[in-house]
Amino acid sequence: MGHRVPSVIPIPLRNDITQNRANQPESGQATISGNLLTLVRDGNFPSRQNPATIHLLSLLPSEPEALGMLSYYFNHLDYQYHLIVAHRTERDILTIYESVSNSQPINPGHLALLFSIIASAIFYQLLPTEPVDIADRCSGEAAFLAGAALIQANYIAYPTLEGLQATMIISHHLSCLTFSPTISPFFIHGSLINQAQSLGLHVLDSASQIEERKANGYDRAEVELKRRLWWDLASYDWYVPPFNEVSITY
Amino acid sequence: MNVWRPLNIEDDDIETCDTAQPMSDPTCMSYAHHRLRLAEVCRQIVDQIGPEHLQGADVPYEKILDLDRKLHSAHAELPVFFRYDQHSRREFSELYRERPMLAWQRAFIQQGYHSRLCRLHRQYFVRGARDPRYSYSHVVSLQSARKVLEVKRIMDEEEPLFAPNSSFFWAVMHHVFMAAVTLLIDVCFNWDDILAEKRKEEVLEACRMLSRAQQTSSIAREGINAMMGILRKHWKQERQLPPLQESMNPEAAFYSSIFPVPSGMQAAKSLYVSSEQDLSAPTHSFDSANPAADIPLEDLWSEMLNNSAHSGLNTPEWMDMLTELNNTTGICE
Repeated sequence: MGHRVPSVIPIPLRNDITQNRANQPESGQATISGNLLTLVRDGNFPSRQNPATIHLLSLLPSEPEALGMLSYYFNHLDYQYHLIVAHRTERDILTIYESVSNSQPINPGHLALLFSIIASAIFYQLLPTEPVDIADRCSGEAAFLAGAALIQANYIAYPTLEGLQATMIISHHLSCLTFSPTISPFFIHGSLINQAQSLGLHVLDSASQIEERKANGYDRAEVELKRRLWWDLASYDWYVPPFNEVSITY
Repeated sequence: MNVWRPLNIEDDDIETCDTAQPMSDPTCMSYAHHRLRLAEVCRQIVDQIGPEHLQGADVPYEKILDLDRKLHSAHAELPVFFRYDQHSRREFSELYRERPMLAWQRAFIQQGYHSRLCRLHRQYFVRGARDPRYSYSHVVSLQSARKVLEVKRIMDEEEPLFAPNSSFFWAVMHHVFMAAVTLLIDVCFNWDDILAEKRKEEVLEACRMLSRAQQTSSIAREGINAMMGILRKHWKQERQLPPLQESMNPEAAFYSSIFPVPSGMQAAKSLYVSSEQDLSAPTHSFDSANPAADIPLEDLWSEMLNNSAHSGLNTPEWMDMLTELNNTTGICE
């Protein structure tokens, strides 16, 4: 309860609070930083820290590294589910680094999306050369950082499209069995459906929504992306039951 | 829910375009559309066979045939660039070079359809080996299993090669393992067939494919070891059967299953037999308590094939084994 930002607080103030949390390590807690592979090899695991207070920016890779991860993800993994639109995600990632350099607040949803891409990409990048447990651990640590970004954004109460992309990327490309229990509930399929429903994806093209879009204008790409994500979740749901379970989408 | 289907458009057009391209045009959304089409049929299968499954009853064969038609109908809707015939492969080789993702997606969707055809016909696959009324299920299962293996061979050998290697994707390897087991079961039920030796060689070739994947991918190695554990457990149970049943040939074993054991009871029986066996000295190399990690996969499968004439498992036991293999590994697309 102590760390939860009440939902009645106005969004700008809430953003300030979550931003301050994201940027400041908890008193008495050592800030860890550096390359994930090096940290894991040294036994220095970010997941041993409190996800609500861990200093995420100190674990941000350099901008070229982040774009390299995005490129790997898009060219080698995204084709399986197509959960991102590359130029929009690249823009989100660049915004993170611009904000860092300008000491501006960072959108934690963008941060979660970046860490989710790193989690998936690093796993498959390391597999050919590293033991599976090292690849698994590095990827799990990046997934932890994605989950920590979502926790610091109070994502369940205030879901975002980028946050949903982040949880779907991790859930679809990685096994969540070894994830820290503090963040693993984000990536369970039932939770993904709830997150999507919280964003109204299941009624995206209802008459009232269409009217609202006509009246107020809308981001065409965002609406189309939401349709893609919803139908991906629906098809994933229909695939998963082994011909003998009840689907949960309807 | 009230959501329109996503448009068949390229990402570059997502901010400006309101009109979808024809489904015959390859786009970055083509695969998502056809994956969704397959998922819709999967959903229909779940809905239609659910009542029988909940009651532990056989699904009427007419229902299986109806669902088979639906799967084939959806498969026939695949655009030419997602088909696997020689003509399509030649015609789109340039497209696959430019956009390797389309070739990879083609492999996934084909494996997806054929593994589900195998799965749909599972209940009648073994019966179809002996009972002409169900021979269609036997034929379709074998054809689809061979197709799954053929797709994996193409994944491994033909351009554009998968990057990362397709063996890193457990869904692919799970389909391959299940296809190989389907062929193995067929040999056990047709051990006296005129083509038995050829069939055994086919199974061993599939086994070599699994071995290569184990060497390439630690994920495949762990997954295959887990599934081999299940396979060995079932084989081991069979090896410990009383002498009368041990000498029973597959046909006799099949006709002995007049009173099939409900799946829940079967599981209980398996537990009982396992605990009994743990007390006895191992008499066979397929020892589930010992992962037999040092024994090459091909040797294990060869031994199973050599003993195929005395497999002794009946229909419900095959079903239990296949169900356990399927369920142990979680989500597979």
